[in-house]
Amino acid sequence: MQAPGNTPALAPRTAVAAAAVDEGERRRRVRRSAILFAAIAAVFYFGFIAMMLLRAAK
Amino acid sequence: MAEHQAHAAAHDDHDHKPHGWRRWVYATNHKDIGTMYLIFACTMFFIGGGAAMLIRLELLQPGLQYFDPQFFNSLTTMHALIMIFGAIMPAWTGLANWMVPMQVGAPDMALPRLNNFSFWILPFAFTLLISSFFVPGGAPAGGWTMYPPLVLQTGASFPMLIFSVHLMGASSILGAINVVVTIMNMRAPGMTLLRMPLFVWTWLITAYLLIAVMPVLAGAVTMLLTDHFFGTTFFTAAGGGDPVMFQHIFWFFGHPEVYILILPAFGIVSEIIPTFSRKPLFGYETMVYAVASIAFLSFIVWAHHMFTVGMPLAAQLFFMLSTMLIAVPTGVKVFNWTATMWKGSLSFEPPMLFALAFLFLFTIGGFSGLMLAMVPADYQYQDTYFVVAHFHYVLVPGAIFGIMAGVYYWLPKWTGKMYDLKLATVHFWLSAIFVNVLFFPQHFLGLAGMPRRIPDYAVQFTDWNVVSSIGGFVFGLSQLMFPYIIIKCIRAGKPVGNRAWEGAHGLEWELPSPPPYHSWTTPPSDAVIARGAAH
Repeated sequence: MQAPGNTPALAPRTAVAAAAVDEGERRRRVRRSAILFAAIAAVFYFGFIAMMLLRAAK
Repeated sequence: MAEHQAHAAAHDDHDHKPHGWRRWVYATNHKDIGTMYLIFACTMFFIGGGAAMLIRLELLQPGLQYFDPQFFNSLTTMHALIMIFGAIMPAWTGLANWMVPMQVGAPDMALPRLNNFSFWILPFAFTLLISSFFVPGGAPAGGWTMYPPLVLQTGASFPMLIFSVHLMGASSILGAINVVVTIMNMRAPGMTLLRMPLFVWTWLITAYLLIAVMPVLAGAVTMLLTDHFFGTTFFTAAGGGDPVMFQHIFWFFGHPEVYILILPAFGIVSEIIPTFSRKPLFGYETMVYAVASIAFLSFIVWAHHMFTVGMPLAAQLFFMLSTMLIAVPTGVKVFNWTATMWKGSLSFEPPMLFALAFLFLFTIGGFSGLMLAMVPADYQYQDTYFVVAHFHYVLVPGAIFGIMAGVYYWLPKWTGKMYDLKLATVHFWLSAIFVNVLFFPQHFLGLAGMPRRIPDYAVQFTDWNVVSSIGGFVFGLSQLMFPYIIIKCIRAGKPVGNRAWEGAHGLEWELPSPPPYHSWTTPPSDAVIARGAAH
């Protein structure tokens, strides 16, 4: 892993630090995917109600 | 072995669990939450089963014996809601909580606090629902399908019904999000998608179904709520609304819901049959594709539940043919399970017995489903006991036997002790015989024209109703053996090793029995994963 500006990244050289980086990245992925699926559920909920409203407006 | 001991020793350092009531109320551990889900589901199974036995008591003879028709209809409605949302779905979530992290090599579920929240919603939802028996007008009696305009005539329990359905839906969606996120992000390195056990695969697909369809049910009941209290007319014909549209929306949720109830059972049976056949699962990848195909098809068959409302011929043909198409991937699965057993070294411990009963009896339910899929035949069967027989064959020897098979399979892993195999075998035979005594005669009653959802019937239906009721009483009472066997196992079972069943494969069997409080704090090595994924 290389830090910006060709400076060698020191922290990730140890296994613990690498694991911490991975853990941080995993936490972000968990949060992102949970929000994505919650958004999909919300789209289905409001989408069906919106479809009924549009149908009634015709 | 040394690797296991080292792993167990590593886990001891992390075994700091809270004690007393805090352990359960503030639980974030996947095993504790899984246990709570399973206890909750078992409680609801007996409450819903009690309602079923009251139904069979009333139907033991023609005429009105014990209950007025309104209360009888409340019993059928509540039996369905409690069994579907209170017993089967939480039981699957409980099994997912226990097994998914252990099977994918993760220390816990990805979102432990959300996990706690999604469980603790359920007791409130069902307290609200069941307490509706005590409000003026009684519990909801319009059927679990909640069709308007009938459901809009519900008394004071209507808002309780709607709110509790919202709560159940929220719990299911949050639980499903947790399962998907765990499987997609928490797998151990080397645990590729096509190395995952079938139970994990079926739960992943089930979770996608849940995320897609539970909000649809929530949307439908929200619109019922506004029709009832806020003057909208989404489903009220007098105001320009369309009651049939509710049926379309409901069954767009309802048919995938059937697969939500059954797909994890496919996964469990796919774990158990190879174990007790001492052979790898035949056609692992085709099993995965078959489950995915069934899930996809479940979205395009919903109107087969409502052929008689009147729909264009093209629509009837489409829904009839798409429904029949489901037989193809289902046939693939039944073939693969049978081929797994072919020339295997079979033994018949209780999990295998329940899995085999699942295989035979679920197939009967599948065949009667094909009969119902044919439009002209469905016009005759619609709203008769044939339909009741069909879906109970799918859900009792299907979903319930699948859950029991799973519990009997993994109970030695969870407790570190072996249960009383003889008693569990007696439980199996009582269940397998009397579930048929209970439901098979209902095919005859339906074909003879007995309508469903009635507390009284013409005298020519008496004989088979008596048989069915006797089957119901014995089946119901024999289920009391299930918690007894579990409690006896916890208190006095004989200790078992890591691999409680000789032919078992999978990461969960690499952990000690009982497993440490946190499952895989150190990810399993690739060799351990490869050994577990021996399919």
